[in-house]
Amino acid sequence: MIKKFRPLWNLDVDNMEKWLSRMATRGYHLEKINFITRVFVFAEGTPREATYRFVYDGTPEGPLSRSLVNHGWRQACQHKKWYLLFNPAPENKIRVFPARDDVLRHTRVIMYVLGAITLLYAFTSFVPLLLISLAMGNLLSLLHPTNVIIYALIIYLWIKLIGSQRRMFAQQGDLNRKIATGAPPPGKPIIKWKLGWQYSPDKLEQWLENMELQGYHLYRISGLGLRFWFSRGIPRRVKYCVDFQLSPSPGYFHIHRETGWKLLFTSRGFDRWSIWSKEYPEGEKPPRLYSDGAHLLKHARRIAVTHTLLFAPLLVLFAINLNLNLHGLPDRGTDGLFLFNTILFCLVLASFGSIIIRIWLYYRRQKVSAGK
Amino acid sequence: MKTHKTHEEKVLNSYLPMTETAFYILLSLTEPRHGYGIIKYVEEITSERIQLGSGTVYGTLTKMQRDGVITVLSCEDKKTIYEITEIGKKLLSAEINRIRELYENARAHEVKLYD
Repeated sequence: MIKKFRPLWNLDVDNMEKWLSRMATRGYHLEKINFITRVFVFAEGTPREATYRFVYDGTPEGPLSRSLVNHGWRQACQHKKWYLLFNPAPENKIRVFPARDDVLRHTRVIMYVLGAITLLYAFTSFVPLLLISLAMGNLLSLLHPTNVIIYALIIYLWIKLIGSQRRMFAQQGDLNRKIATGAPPPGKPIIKWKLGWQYSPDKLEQWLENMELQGYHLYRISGLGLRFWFSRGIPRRVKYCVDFQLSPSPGYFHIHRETGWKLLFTSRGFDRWSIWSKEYPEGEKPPRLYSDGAHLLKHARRIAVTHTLLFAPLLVLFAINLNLNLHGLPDRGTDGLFLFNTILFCLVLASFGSIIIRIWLYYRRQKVSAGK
Repeated sequence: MKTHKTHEEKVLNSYLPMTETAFYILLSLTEPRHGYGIIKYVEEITSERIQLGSGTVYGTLTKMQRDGVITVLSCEDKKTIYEITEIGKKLLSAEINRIRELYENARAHEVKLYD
């Protein structure tokens, strides 16, 4: 019996599965995992092929569906929502696997937590230290061994998580996120800028559809979604759909592609925006990504609620700052800094406020259209 | 076991009565299918009356997966396929019974319309 300590196994799930398979081919078969101490216990036996899959599943039935059992999958061990499934066949002989959706979602939650820790560390420790070091003209204090270990650990964890996320996404369709590209059409492109379209996505859809009707064919959108490239051609009918998902699974890209939608843009940040298009012949009803009003409204509500939750705390924070600036220091007078801060806080408040108003106006438009 | 029962009851209470969209999506998953397969199958059995949008199907499947009504699998060709679970079968069966009652009552009262 041998024991192996793998403290960060859940940050690198797919590599752990490969490692378990390699251990099996060397004659070490997994007996149990102590999920608390993160120790993997192996029993020695005959070398044989085996495939493993970690599954994160919160349902009472667990992840072993009828199809998985029929394709040879068995449960090796379980701890809370984590399951390790085992198949006695080599990976290339298995036709059906547990999906990665829930593990990907779980990894994304870990990424958000790590993101919050990174930001907290950056603003409470790294940035103040950097400013002090710059003021003192000695950047060497940034390279104190404790700091270097923390930087290395944060970078290492990010590399592990991003790598694991990409590989697992690729296992369920590596072309899933690929944006429709091709050779740029001949002729001078017409480039248009669009800012803040996320706060009234229906207007962007209408604008793009009208551009197509006037013979401006959209063929590219910049990585940040700010610039739109058009080529001149014959007027055509194209339905556009600006879609928002909090954490799209690989199946999201698959299902839209299979039904003929072309992906022109997908963001990679917190805001998961995708722009889909589909051409349709004259005289036919425009295709719809959401075939019923309830889903369309739910989608609009998700956009409105998510962005309100994102911007409302900032709005409150800047309102408090403005109040402090105006009334907190009564004896300070109206110096340049006071005026600068007041104007800045007012501008920030106006822009955050307008975002929240625009997004709820969008929701109202969708509600009216769903009611028709 | 108690938790299982509670979860099942919660699912039945929150899904019943089912929307036509959710009912047909779950009905099509009595055998494993991928997203496009669901859309084509529903089109076929309703003689193209119901043409589901892929966003609607994806949204419904995501919710059903979260509630344990269906499970998600991945094929060797990297396609995602969906399959009904035991709780999903109980939900579908309860909805079929509800529709049967609806149908039988409708039939029983239909004749009175023409009296």
